[in-house]
Amino acid sequence: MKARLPLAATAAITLLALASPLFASPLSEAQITYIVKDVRTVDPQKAPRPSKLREKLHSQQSVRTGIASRTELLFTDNTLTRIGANSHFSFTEGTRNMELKNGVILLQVPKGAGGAEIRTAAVTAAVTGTTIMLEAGPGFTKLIVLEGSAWITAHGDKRKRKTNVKAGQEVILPNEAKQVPPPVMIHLDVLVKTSTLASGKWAVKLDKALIDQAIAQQSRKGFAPSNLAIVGPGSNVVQLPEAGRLPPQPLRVGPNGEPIPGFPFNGPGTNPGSGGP
Amino acid sequence: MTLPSFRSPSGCRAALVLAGCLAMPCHAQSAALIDQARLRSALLNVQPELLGDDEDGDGVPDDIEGEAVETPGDLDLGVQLIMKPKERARLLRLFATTQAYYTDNVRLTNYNPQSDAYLFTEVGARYEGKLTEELNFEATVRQAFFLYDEFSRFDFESLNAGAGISYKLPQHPDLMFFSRYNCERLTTDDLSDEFFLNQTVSAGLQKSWVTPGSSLYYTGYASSFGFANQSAAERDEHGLYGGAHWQLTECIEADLYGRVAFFDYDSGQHDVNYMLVPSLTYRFSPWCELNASLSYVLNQSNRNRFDYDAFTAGGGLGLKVQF
Repeated sequence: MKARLPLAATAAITLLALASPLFASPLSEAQITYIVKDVRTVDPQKAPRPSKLREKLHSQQSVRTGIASRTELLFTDNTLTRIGANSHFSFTEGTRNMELKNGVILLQVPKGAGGAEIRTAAVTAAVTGTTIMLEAGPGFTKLIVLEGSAWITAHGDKRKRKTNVKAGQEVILPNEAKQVPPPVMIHLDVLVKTSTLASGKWAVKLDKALIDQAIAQQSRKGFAPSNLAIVGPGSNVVQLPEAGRLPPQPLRVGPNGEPIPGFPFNGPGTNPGSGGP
Repeated sequence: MTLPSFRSPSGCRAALVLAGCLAMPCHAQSAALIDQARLRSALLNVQPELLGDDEDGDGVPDDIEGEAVETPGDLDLGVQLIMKPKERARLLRLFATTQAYYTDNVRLTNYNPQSDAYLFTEVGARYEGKLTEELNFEATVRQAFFLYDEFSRFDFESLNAGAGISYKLPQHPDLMFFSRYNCERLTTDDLSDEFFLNQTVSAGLQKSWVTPGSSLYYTGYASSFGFANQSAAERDEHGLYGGAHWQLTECIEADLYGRVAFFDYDSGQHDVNYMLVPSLTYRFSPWCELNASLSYVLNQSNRNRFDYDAFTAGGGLGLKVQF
């Protein structure tokens, strides 16, 4: 009998640990911790109004960002959402469900926080203790996993198959996709260094320890940069003149197509493996 | 023939950089930090002196803050540089194949040709690698068994061992020169009774074209010089060949190979040999595939009894393990 007690206790603890995500606290509210330019809170049945710093959002509300704008939301369980330009993001109170109608986000769900399920027009992505980037573009969804992993299901898949996307992998699928295509591996270090969502100035510090681990693991896994890249949003693949040599930054243009003074123009790229230009 | 894998000069450079880093003394760390800062700046392609004032630090210069500016290059997501598996400097591959074939001319003759089916089984090992960026080598040993259905007296085994090098022109990596030594030993009665031993030295060049749609086309010329233990069967070969490889889907590949060769026997026999082989491969996994092929051979000789044609069809299962 004495021998059975520790066994039972171990089993109970294991069961509790396994079931803990099921009992994780739902998302109740999120605080706006950072605002750049045009960020608006959308209340139901009302016109969007400019968001305020430290404003608390509830499920009936959503957040929209304008051109060259971004904002950051911190949930009560420390789930962090950074929202990029031209985005529309909402969550459902009392659940752990979020929705990205369009635009881009970075989502970091802390380990043990119970995970989250985020929906776009094309997929539903389930994450637990993971950092991902998600883009809901016109007619497609792009998912990038920075650390941890995500399970995604295409809405067009009648069999509701789940595909595991791991750290360093990217998947792009059209909204009408009937299954998730095979992920491709991307250079995490370059991504993090060139992404405003991952490395720009924000109010809440991103937990980068696990991302750094994923970057270190990727360099050990026998992958090398190719001469293909996607720059920023969308799915257009550009061919680089040399493997690993980054493309020049796209030209920033004004409303009439004229270059904006003060922005770096198309200059020579650089090779991340060569130690600088 | 398979699609050539990516060549990665940056891989060598990365190894040199790594070697350099390992050898870097401690007092050079500050210089390395400056280099890292330069690298990061370069990655972002930001030259601070070109940027306008940005008091709120949002990355948007104050002079255009608040303007509705079209920003096609917003890097919220950053640059997604696609990675590829690193090319391995050395590769050992073990393989095993078993295939069943039907041929309409088992004796390769124009006199009363007979059809038969045979089972082809092969096991082997292949070691390949890079000597330099342009110079590659490979060595292969294979043991094959041919077991005929009706004409079992034709059953034989073949032990084949060879090694070769290939050189790609640095300015024209699609142009390759190759040279190879090969030794083939044919036996009967469970490997014990040798009835033919042939050594060949061959050389040639090949030009290939890769299209964006994962197709490969190639053509080449090869000459081989034979040294056999039976002079009647000793021959030199000079041939032009060409082929194509198409990646139809992620799992299905198609190949077409054709060759015209002149066979020059020591005995005075001269043949012109034509060969055409279409084939299809279905890859279940990186280590298991199913293939089917057809082949047609037409041989025209200055000795009538060696004028023949033969049609062969079959397929089977192939397994391979890589280290």
